[in-house]
Amino acid sequence: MSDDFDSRLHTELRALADAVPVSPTVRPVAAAGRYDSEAAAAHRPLSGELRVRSGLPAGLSLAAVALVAVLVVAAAMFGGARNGHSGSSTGPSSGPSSGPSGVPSGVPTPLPETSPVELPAWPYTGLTTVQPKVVADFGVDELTSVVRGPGAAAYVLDRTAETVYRIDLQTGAVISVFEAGVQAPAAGGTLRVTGKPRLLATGGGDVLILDESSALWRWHPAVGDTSGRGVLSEVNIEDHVTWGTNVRAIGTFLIDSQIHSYNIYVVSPSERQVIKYPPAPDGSGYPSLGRVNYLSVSTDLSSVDDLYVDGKIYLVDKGKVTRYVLGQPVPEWVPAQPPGSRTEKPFYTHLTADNAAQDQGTFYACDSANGRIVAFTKTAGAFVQQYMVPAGSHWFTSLTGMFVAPGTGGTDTLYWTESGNLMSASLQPVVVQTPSPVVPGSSVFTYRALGDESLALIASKFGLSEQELKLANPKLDLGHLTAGMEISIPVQGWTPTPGPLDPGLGG
Amino acid sequence: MLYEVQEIPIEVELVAVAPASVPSLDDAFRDHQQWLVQRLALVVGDAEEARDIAQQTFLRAAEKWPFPPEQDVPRWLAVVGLRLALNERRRRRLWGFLAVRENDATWAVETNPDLWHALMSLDPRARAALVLTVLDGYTQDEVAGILGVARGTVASWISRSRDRLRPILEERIR
Repeated sequence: MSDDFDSRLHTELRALADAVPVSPTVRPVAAAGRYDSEAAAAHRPLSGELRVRSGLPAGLSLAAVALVAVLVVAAAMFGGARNGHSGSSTGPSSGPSSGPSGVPSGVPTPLPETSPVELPAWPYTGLTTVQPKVVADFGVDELTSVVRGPGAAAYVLDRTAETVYRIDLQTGAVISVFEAGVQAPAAGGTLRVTGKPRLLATGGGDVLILDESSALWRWHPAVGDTSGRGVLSEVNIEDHVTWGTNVRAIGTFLIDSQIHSYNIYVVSPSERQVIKYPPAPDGSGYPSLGRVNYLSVSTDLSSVDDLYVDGKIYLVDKGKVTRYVLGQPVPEWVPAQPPGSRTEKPFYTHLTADNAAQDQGTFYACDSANGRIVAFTKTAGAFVQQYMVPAGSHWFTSLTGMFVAPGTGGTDTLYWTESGNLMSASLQPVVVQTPSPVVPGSSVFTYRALGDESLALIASKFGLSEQELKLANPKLDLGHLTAGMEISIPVQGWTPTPGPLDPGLGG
Repeated sequence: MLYEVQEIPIEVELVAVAPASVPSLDDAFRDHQQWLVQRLALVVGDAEEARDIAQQTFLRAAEKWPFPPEQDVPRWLAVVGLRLALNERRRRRLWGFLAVRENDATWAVETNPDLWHALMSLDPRARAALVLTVLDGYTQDEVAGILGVARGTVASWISRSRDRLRPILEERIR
């Protein structure tokens, strides 16, 4: 019986589908006041929606271009016949790139390989060329942020669809966890309608979403669920309306991992402050009584691009990363100038790290001016490595969010949002070779330490004794290297394995 | 009133030609436009709106064309088209002008009025799930990925949809 029903359902649905008139029909103009006027007023010319990115891997064929023109004319004509108004049936559009969409295909799609890799023409050291892959494709939707949250999944803010999606990085499954315009539990046992999402953060197993009315929402997965089901509720912060609607960034700092309790930080240009909220002891929310102005001096924060909190606070503003301790900027801490810049200085826009603990691990910062990711140590800001995509590729120039996920075998993976895609690239472990004077009868390489490493350890990596290393580096008076320090490696009959070599260098 | 078509910066794209091995966009349009309109019409309940959304879908495809060879073009079109359709309906509902739209569904009413009215009584996302599974053979997991919901939600939609449609179809079988 069920088979009969399924077969019948298929047949009947097919018949309905086949009856759909694929070509337009001429219909009398209908009068529909509100929809007509609002749609016409809000609709924008298709020239705005046809935002063809100049960075496409390859352009359109002549035929395709002609087709686009035909489609545009057709869209205008069909729209003209609809209810006496121009345009399609699309409702209000908030901007050229924000038509109603969202295209999370969820299937990782490798980009066409660029081979051989063309390296940049200007001098670089410590460079790794990474191969970007598409993790999830959201079409031309505007993705404005991404964080790594519960379940080691990526949470992407799609401003066009006014939705936050959870993307399982193992399976590629996409599921929405927050949508504008739905009711969710708020303080006092009431219900409140969610606004358009603006900013994301994670903390204590929660995803935090700040909406356009400066209401802060918390999504956390259902107990034992790994598929993306969870609960959304408003975070109880009594005085959130004082932040204004132009908050630039939000962050958290875990203070009790047992009960997933965390501070919340809000970068509020209206208040010229980074506002810190400790949680109420009973977990009921963030009372205004505990509110603290973190910065010792009120500061213009209107151009802050990113915030990172690990006990210390780091603000990315006007291309610079500034460390704050106890509310005071630390001018001595400055990320080292990475070698090889297309412009005079890097211009950082986003900051993340591979280790959440204070003063541990490596920062990764997006230098949008030079189209690269620069890694430097948390402790001293010493340069570690820089990552670029193959020449001709447009990634890392309009990145809107990023995080680094630890991988197996020490290989971390960078995830970022850019141009309507969630992207990923493996960050290979790096043994850097830079040019050194070649000793006759032998080869000499320069090794750059990624962290604290003893001479004995480095020597063992290359089958040398510690004494041989010291002989090759007479000026070295330490028994160990710190991150970024270089040392000459005399190696006879040894050829470095192909890897992240510097441009133009060999053995 | 027509849009000012001349403002569209198409000329800049004339310099590059897609590789011969990659199907052209007009081939894709020819191959896929009809079924896409048919699927969308079953979801949005209006043939003309379905054509509009299909056009928007192909315009979006044009922005990304050529796709990587691995890209499943029909799936991409289905995902984009359905999301355009569903998001558009959600927006209209939020703005409050869904009810005043007139539907062009003469074709459906003339073909199978009972099934059509039952279909239209379903949630649009449930209709989308039904169409994708019954007509196109997508699994419930795949539909969950396409619509951005949990698999269990899809299963629930399909089950309820079948329950709603069963009396009508079984009546016709008898």
